[in-house]
Amino acid sequence: MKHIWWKALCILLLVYTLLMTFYVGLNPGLIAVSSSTVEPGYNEFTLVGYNTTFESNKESIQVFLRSDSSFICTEILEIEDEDKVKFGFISPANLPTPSLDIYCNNNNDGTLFLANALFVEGYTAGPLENSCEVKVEKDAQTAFGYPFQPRIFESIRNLMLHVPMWFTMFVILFISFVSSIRYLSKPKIEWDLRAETSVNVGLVFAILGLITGSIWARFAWGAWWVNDPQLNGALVTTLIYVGYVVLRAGINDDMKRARVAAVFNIFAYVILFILLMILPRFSEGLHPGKGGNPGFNTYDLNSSLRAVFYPAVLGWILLGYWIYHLRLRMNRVRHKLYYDE
Amino acid sequence: MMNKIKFLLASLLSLVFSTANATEISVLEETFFQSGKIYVVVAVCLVILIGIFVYLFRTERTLKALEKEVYEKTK
Amino acid sequence: MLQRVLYLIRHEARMEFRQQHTLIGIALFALSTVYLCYQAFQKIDQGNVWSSLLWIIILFTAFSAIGKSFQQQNKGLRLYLFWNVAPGEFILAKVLYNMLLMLSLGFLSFGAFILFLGSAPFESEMWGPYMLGIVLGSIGFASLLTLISGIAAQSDSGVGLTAVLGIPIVIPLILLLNKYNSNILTNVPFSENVENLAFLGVLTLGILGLSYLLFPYLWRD
Repeated sequence: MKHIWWKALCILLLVYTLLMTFYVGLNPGLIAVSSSTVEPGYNEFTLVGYNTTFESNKESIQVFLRSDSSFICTEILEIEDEDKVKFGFISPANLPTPSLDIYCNNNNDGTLFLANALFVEGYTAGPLENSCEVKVEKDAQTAFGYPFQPRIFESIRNLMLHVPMWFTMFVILFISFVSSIRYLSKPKIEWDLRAETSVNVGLVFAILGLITGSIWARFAWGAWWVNDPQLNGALVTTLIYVGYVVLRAGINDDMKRARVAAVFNIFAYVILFILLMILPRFSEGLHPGKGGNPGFNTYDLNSSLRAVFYPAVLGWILLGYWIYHLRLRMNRVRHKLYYDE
Repeated sequence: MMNKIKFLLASLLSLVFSTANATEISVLEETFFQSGKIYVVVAVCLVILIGIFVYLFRTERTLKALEKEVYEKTK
Repeated sequence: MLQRVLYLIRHEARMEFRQQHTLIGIALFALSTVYLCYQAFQKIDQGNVWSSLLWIIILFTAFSAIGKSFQQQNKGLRLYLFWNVAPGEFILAKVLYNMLLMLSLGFLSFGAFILFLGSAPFESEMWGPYMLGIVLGSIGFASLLTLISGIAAQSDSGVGLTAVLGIPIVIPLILLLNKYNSNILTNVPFSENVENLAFLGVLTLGILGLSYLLFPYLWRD
């Protein structure tokens, strides 16, 4: 056990990842409002929050609505518990836009926000008459905790579990690509063993990534499969490397199998690289970094997420490499047994 | 064993297809939307752990066969 | 080198025409698929559906045409070529021949498609750019599938492998082609579309380069 340090690091990182994944709290946010239509006259709504502290901050709570850049003040009717507040307001005569965003503000949670929550029927366009002054004490998203995202809620923690699967897969497939190149430049069976083993392990992570991604997509976006560049790329990657396994299984001669598989591997990896570059041009993404989606972008990857996400990626990659290394040693022994009589 | 697997598959499939109708909230969604969708994370975590362990067990089985062969050869 | 490549292409064509039944078989395959589509759809007015369907037909025609290209050589000829021809020249000749084959098959499918399913989505100025798409697509398919079928031919398990290996890899190409041609039929201005064309060209050149570099390793028994 000469190289025990990276295995220890792997265990340490994964323990830290799993603990922090579940331990760190989610920042407060708004989930829903009791109804979405505003009628003429006086309206009453119940606002539902998550992880909020409405009741303990009765004095400072404030609910207001935003239309374009002007604000409508509301009166707090009743605070039912920590995450339910009832508010009411008179529908104004003139509005810049028909859809209203709800803002909720208190000293502990900061300013929370629910986009396009209310819709005014039969509105008259025009500037708002009694615009109200708003004081914001604290920004909610700067607190330590995972950022609250609409629709995703607690499942943002999947970032530490699902996303590293893809990182691991790419690192391991890269090992296979490099091994194949080295095999072609110098045909030693060791390089072929490495290429074969790494594709094998990479496929396990690809399949895990597909399954977990599918589960997450179902409950965040509402469908098991959505048309998204990342998903399409992931599926094609998996199919190509399944093809690699099938190709290997079809060739009986040892040296020939190694050579042909290496050629296919290099070809596939390069095409795959091009594919992953051009795919985003074909469908609007739901994944992070694409406009107008309920996911999270780089801006939302706040410091507490980063503090867990980067170690998580490294930890999973090390675990993948560990498994790959074990399989490689096993395959070496098997090869020795069968062919070095 | 086969029957059990068939039953499991059938119930899983019915669970999946019961969610096809998006207008009503299904049993599946009810379970997973609880407490801010935390069970989605639990499910994902379980899938990953089970996946990796199944793979390790498969590796062990191959290794066992290999061990047997080595012992037979050196005997 | 050019002369030898040209000679090889001519040789390839002569071999193919000597066994006419394979060529006729492939052409028949394309025509009957188009006819099948006609039975299923009658007339298609939407530009993007029209275009996608045509590309799927050309894709499968390409698989059946190029999938065979390494299969039919007999052993003696193979050995003769192996000793007398450089692998780079051989693959270039193969790819160029397959390009010619695919060009004729692509335009055959295109013509049959217009004949049966009508040319409702077309306006007069669309023909030129659309045909350019078919030319580039045929060339791209030919270069991509030639190496894949060369790989599949090394396997002991038969012809079916070309599809298993080829379909996932062909996806970027078919996405680009379909996007380019659908854009033409749905009146997207050419200046926005020219980017797809550039990508197609780069992709095809990359594939050609890779084929040239990698084929010598396949050509060794």
